[in-house]
Amino acid sequence: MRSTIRSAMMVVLLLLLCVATTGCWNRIELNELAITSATGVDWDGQNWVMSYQVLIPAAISSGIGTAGGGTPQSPVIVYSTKGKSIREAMMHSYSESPRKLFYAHNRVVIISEEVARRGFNELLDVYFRNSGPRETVSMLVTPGTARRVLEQFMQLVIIPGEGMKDIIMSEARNASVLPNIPVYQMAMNLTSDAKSSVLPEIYISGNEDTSTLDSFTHTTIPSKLKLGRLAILHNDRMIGWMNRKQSLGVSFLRDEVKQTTITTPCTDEQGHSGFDTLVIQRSSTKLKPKLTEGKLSYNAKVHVSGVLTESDCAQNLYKPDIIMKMESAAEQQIQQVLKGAWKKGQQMGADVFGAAEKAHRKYPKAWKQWSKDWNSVFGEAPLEVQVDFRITRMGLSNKSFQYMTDKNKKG
Amino acid sequence: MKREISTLQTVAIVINAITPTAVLSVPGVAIGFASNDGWIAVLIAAAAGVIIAIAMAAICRRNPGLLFLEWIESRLGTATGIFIGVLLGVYYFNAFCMIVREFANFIEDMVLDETPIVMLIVVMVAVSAFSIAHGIEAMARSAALVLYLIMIIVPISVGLNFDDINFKELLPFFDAGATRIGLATIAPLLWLSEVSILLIVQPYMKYPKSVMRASVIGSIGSSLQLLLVTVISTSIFGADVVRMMSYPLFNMVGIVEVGEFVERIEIFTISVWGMTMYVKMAVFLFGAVHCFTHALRLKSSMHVLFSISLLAVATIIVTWPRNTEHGQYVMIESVPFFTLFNLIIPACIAIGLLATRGRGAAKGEQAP
Amino acid sequence: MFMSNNKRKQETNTGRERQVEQLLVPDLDQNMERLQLFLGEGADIVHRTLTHRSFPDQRYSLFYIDGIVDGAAIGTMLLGLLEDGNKIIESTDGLYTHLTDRSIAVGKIRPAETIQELGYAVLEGSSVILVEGSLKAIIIDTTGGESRSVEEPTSQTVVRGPKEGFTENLRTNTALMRRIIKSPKLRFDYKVIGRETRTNVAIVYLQGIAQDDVVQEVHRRIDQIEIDAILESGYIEEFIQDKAFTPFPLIQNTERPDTACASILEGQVVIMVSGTPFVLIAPATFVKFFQSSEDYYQRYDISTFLRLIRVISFFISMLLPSLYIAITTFHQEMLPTPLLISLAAQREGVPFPALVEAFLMEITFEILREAGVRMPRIIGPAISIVGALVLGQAAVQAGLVSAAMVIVVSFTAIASFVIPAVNMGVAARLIRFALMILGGSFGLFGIMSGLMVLLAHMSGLRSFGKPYLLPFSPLIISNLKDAFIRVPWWAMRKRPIGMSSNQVPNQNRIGGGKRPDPDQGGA
Repeated sequence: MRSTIRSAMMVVLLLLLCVATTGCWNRIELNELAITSATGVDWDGQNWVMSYQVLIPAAISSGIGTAGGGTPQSPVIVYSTKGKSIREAMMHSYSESPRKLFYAHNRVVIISEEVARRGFNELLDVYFRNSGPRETVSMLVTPGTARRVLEQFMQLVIIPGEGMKDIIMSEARNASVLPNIPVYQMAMNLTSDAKSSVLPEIYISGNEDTSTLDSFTHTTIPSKLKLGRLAILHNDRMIGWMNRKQSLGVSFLRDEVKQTTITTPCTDEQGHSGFDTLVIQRSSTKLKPKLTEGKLSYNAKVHVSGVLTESDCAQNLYKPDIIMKMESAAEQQIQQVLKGAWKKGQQMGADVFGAAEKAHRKYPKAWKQWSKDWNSVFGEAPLEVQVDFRITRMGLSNKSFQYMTDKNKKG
Repeated sequence: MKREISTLQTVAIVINAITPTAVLSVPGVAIGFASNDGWIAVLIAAAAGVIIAIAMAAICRRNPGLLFLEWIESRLGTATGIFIGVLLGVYYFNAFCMIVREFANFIEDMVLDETPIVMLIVVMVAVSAFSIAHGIEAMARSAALVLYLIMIIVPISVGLNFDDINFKELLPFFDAGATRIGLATIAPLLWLSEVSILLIVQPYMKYPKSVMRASVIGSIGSSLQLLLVTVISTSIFGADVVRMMSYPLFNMVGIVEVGEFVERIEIFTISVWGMTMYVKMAVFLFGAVHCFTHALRLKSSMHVLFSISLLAVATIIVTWPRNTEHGQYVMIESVPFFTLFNLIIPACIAIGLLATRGRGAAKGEQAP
Repeated sequence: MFMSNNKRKQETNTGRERQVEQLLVPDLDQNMERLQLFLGEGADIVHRTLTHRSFPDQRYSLFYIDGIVDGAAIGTMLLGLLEDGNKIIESTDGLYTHLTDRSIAVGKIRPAETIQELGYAVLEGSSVILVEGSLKAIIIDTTGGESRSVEEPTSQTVVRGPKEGFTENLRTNTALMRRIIKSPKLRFDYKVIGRETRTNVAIVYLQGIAQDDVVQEVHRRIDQIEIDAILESGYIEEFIQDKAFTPFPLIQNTERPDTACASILEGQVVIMVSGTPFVLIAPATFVKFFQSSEDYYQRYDISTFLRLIRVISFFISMLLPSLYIAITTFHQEMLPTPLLISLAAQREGVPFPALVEAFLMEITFEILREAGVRMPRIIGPAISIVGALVLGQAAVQAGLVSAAMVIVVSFTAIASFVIPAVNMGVAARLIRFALMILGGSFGLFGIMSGLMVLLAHMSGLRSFGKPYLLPFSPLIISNLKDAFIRVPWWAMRKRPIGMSSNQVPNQNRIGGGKRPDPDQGGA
């Protein structure tokens, strides 16, 4: 009896073995993949236009093998497909490409301003519903067409898609003017209480076309990819832009500043005016709502600590009062930046600062009232800013060079 | 019947019998009802779960050392015993089919979307059947080893996500209102009531008296995992987006990006979690085989195993031609199903046992 | 060498046995004739008839087989007999008693009464003296002959530690063990197995430390063996294994006396087989196959590190090819992008899918390995270098396989050599193929299912009653000190629980508080 069971199990096993020989369903070889490094989303009035920047591995890797060597090849290739919905456009790519598109290594998705202004809920649905595209992809918006951005080569990086992601990550980490918004963050923001979100902008500065390999043979590239302003979205659509200064204010208020640089004006005893440059290394912002007599107002407390990296006024930096002067100048600067951003947000009617969540958490009962028309409540809420700036280090020089030259001039 | 399962292995069986599918579906359901207060619902369910665990263990302790069905028969009469046995067998069989289908659905969604689901189901049922072919103590050992694995992997996964966690997303508390929290409590509670598997497993324990400890620890362990997943997925994604996700646990692991090379490793967590899933399937299949073998007085449990496996494969494929029907089954139809078998029947058994307290000794003497 | 039909042999054997199951008779010539009939007419069978001056009517005859006796012992004995044969003594006992009590110059003698017993004794290397007029004969143990001297073991070498290895001679082996363990508790139980080879088998254990039911079980299983030839301990291993259909070894084997003694001291039982230097050790659990005796001679920190490396190598040799196949064909998202790009570039010209490529390379490697075993020692290293490097390199450049696959396969092969016990390495090799198929069909899900099956299988394995996964499940925390790590000697107070007997309370192996501390005691 046991042998019958054993032979039955053998049969099952053999059937399972057949699986390996006929080729299995989900298996896909590496050389059947079209690895996408960047995706672009455009809208031509009726159809979605999806653009893909696909890698050519043989041109990138310098490994041994049959391919490689010989004529230089472009590392990427860009093509677009159209369709009534995003996934339908992706389906059309099968008619064009000999390989199956593979989105898992996709790093950025660029949406054009038209798409942003139209609303892109479909895009977010695609990302969450399918297991292929990842929700950690960074989103960027561009004023022209997304396709044009994909065709652009970048300096220092072979794969432009990776380069774009590196730019935005480096910006978010080192300059903190523009934040890095992955898809899931965008989804969270758009469904949150404030229903507003931000998007960094990427654009091509310069006019010439750099989609040929020629660009790699010169020391300068005539047109480059650059990050620019901040796009503001409200209720799934884009409603406007904020400039870089206001965008820095938004970063401060969202407590997303990791490192940034500010310049404060200074004047010295000779009447010479210049700038002190401070690198902010640590910053924390607490944005608290306050309810006084039924009126909502906000209070932002910012603790910043920074390092002096450049000084243009003649001053002896080891004197405490000079330091205090610099600190208060910096504090004022930051205050202005924050207030400017707040005002712009109120003007545009978009609460991108996370103020709604804070109000909801602190005053849940009143929130039920406010949530009906948050824009007007928000539009009337004033902001008080208190900044506490501390310059921790001066660097290696204890006097500014201007001071030295001035002193020499004197005598 | 050898008594070989240590207490630790029993705890492992209990935890692995509850957590795998629970961790998959409960956060979605709880957060769906109660948005950012889902974790409160899970906490309440945990407390209730401990009470249920204590109740089950109390029933088990009265067992003088017989197999569960034999004991029922000796106390409540042969007919009742057989009836309960068949009923429990049907319950475990159905639950087995349900969880196999759930696992197969999940694997198809996440990983292998072009493989026919028949192949996946056959593989899963075959592996579960093989696991119990050696008897429950072998399976208990596997369960213990898988438990160690989980105890290592879960903290690592949580740790990797640490930067993205923002506990402020959980505020404000009790935003959702008591009714919605109450509704959200039902699903975790039902899953936690799976601790009734102890009724079947307890006679095999080496130290039957420590079943109370095993039961409570197991229940708390599962609740802890559920709580962890709920809290962390809410605090990473916020309560709104996470309602959309079918499998928040894996979205959570999917966004891990450490350095430049540890990315998109969710399939690894899926594999590890898949092993706990296999243990759960094996436990339920064991329950089904055990109940049928004893209730119907069948001689060879190997044959029963084989036939039940085949029947299971057929049932799973035919009953739910579409995934949505299964999804609906899990959300709606399984509620009375679980309540009946995990809560009401043990309660009836407990009442029956209380009523026949005196009869047990006398019957034992009269038995041939 | 070949397992012939037991039943057929049995009939002819019993026929022959019935012929000579005969007691000795007083007539010397008849006895000699019967004995010669039993032994055959070989030219190496020596018999010599002698007389004794004091017993003029009685002759006695000496039988032995040249080559398997110790020439010096025979010479001494003959000398003693001849010298004694010239003496004139007064004796009322009879020649037989005189010989046994006063003449034979060899240590071990015993009486015998049947031709069969005498015949078998002669075949073993003893000499036999038939005395006229006596119903008993004398068997003298003069076993000897050419055999290999004690050399360094070839298979399990250590950097630090004793360099003696077992030989094919059972007596030498038991002596080697006795020299290490001089305890009176050391017991040797002898058996004879195999109808034609009549191989001597010794079961060695420490009385009171080995579990009694394990020893009894070993005895019982060996007694059940019915075969015509036992040529190596591997035959016995296959007979007494708990389970037939498992790739995992359930019994250890070793060529080193120190390993054998160490396992006896922990409560295991050693089975020595004459004719092979490899002894068996039972029962065996999974972790034992990852321990080498050198672990205990080097310091604990390096030993722990090396043990962890061995475990990792085991998993690598089992899983690496299947993981590679699964990840590159199903889960490409797990690879970091630069790695993905270079792998994709390498795959550009390769004609085969990854699964087929992996199988080709693995089979090629197995062929190379097997060829390396049989090659004459002079050419061996050259061909293996040529084979591995050049073949691999040339295959990559010809575009037959991708470079990454060559790396994966070679690394797997190297990892499989790290495991100290060859039979466990073999298990990894076999399982690897099954996992490759599963990985190639279902990706990581398939590998995970395969691992689950393996886990369930291992959980159900028992070796002589001990669960195979012993320190891990059922969990015995105190045994974990010596499982995949090794704590220093002063921390390993007691014997591992589970292996040794419960009768004697688990004695401390080490006296208390022996942690090295230079400040202890007086300066």
